[in-house]
Amino acid sequence: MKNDREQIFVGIVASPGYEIAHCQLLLEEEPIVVKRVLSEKDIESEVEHFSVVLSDLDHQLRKVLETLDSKDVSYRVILSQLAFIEDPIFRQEIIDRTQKEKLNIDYIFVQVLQNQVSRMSRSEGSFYEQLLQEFSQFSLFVINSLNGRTYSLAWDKECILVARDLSPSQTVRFIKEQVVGFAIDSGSQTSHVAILARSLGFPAVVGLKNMSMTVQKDSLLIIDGCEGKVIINPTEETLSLYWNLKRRYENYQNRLSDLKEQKSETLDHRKIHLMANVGFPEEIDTVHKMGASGVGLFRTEFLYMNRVNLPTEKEHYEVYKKMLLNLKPLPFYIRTLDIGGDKFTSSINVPKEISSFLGLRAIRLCLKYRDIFTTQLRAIARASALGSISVIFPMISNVDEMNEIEVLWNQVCEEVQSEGIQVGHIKKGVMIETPSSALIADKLLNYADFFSIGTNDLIQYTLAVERGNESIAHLYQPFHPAVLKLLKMVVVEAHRRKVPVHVCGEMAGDPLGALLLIGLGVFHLSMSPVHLLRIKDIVRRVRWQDLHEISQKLIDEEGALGVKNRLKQILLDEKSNDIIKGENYE
Amino acid sequence: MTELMPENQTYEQSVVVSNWQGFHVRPSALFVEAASHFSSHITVYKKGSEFNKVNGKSVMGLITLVAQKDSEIVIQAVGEDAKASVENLVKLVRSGFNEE
Repeated sequence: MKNDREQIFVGIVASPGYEIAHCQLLLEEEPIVVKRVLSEKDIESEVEHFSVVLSDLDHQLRKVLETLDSKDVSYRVILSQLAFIEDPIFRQEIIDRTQKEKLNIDYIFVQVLQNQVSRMSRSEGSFYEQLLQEFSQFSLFVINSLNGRTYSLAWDKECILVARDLSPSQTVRFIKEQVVGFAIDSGSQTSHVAILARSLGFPAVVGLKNMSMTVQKDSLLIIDGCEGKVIINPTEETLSLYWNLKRRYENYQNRLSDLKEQKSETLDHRKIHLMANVGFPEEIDTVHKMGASGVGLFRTEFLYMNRVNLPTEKEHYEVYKKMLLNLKPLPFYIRTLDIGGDKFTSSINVPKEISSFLGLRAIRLCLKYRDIFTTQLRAIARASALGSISVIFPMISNVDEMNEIEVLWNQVCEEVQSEGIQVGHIKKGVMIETPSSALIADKLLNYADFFSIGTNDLIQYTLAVERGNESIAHLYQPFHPAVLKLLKMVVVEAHRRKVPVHVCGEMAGDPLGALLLIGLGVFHLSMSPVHLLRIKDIVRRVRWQDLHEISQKLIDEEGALGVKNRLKQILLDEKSNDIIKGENYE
Repeated sequence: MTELMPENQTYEQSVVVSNWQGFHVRPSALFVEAASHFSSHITVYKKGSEFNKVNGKSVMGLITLVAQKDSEIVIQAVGEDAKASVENLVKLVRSGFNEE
């Protein structure tokens, strides 16, 4: 039943902008298999059909395999499917049973496969889950083919991707496709889908609840990434309104690009370093495009995603080298492996935990599996010979960790030096993202050349609110007094020892957030490149003196709303109504 | 008194899975390829999951063992070349399937 009515869905803003395009649904359709009794003469043609379909699938899969890189996890998945298809014992069992029980072969296929699954021992870890997924994909694939339904993943025109959810590994694959926007049922403002869409510069709306179930294949959609809405089957009127908005937004972005060459200074000439957060080497172009003054956070998890084996030292080194040479002489800050929580890896078989946010991740994982850590450290040490690198250690929560790191780091540098490489001076920074690290900032200063505050996680841990959980997304408040208190604590301690403080969380890329941080005394902000010019625009319109004076009053506010209002006032005082309007702050 | 005919050897040996991936697709496929060179009937099971005995020449079967790194599997063979086949396969598993 086709529904052509215009429908509006409200979600959460994940990435700004406007797009109008047809949608592409990413849904798994469960085929329904019904038992049928076969007559004698049908059995032969049923078996014949089965063999033909399998050999056709084999051929198709082999073709796809040729186009993939062997390190891609899709490569491994396809190898699985091929192995299953070519398994003579499996195939024979299906044929034998079909002939014996005289039932339709797709039914027998499902039975035999389910039988295999039921014999698998449920064990810890992602191994079992992965296998289940592979079997289920295999089943879908074969059943759909047996029933003449094939689906392809290639799109021939620009589209907005609609799905219930997108896993990190899926999103990495889609960069290369014709996607111009995301409209996802689940997720929150700081989920990986949001972060990816922002870094790629296209609009995304998440938290749409059940939209993917309602929208029809190929419908025309409008994504309103500024208000967090998705409109299905827009009327002429709506379309015309949005074409207008899209044009104005793009003009605004163009105006901002003029700012690229301008100084990043407040009205009273306080220099603010605006740097970029980068998660994939491909993003390096946006760094230059936005005129960032460096890469304030280079995430290295991508090296571990979508593959079964661990990256070698050489692989690490090649990436760092490429980045360094491209960025020179701009500063380059690498964060060591921060895996765990909502970030996925297929190669480290870490047992499933009750709450991976509080578990074995980041520096804890690295200090437990030292080989993984030293591989990365060695590559960094070697790359330092090519240019200026700084390292950030994530999720530090005590001084002991810093001591261990110091020992390992010295060992690595000695080793590398003895191999004839001139290890450069590498600044080492502590990522302040746990309440504990903020509270012992004074002690951590003995080990840090700089601090980098990861506000995303600091807010989560401090407010006990989980990122990516739609039901409590409203509790994630960057301007909460508790957060402000911790931020102030860290900055005051650092300033006492003349140690620079960076902020690399999403707060740095938020206009009010940036004003707050600058007012507190943070002069290094690193953000998703898509926000950079907008923040620069704001920086150039305010006086640091005003921000600084107000920061004290902000600490006294009881709640986030009060804080935001005071900050908004600054923008009003500087006659920046357009920004207030643009951000929907009124 | 039953006497085993030379044509019908039985042999078995256990081995610990040493490669990172465990018995994922590639290693399983390599195992099947090696096993297919022998005429004996090959059965494999994981210690602790004796109810799931799989045909060593079936990739699908081997995968259902969920034999992760450090798990112990038992390789059994019945046939003319039972001993040779088991020894060969044990060696393959022990070598970690020559993965880096």
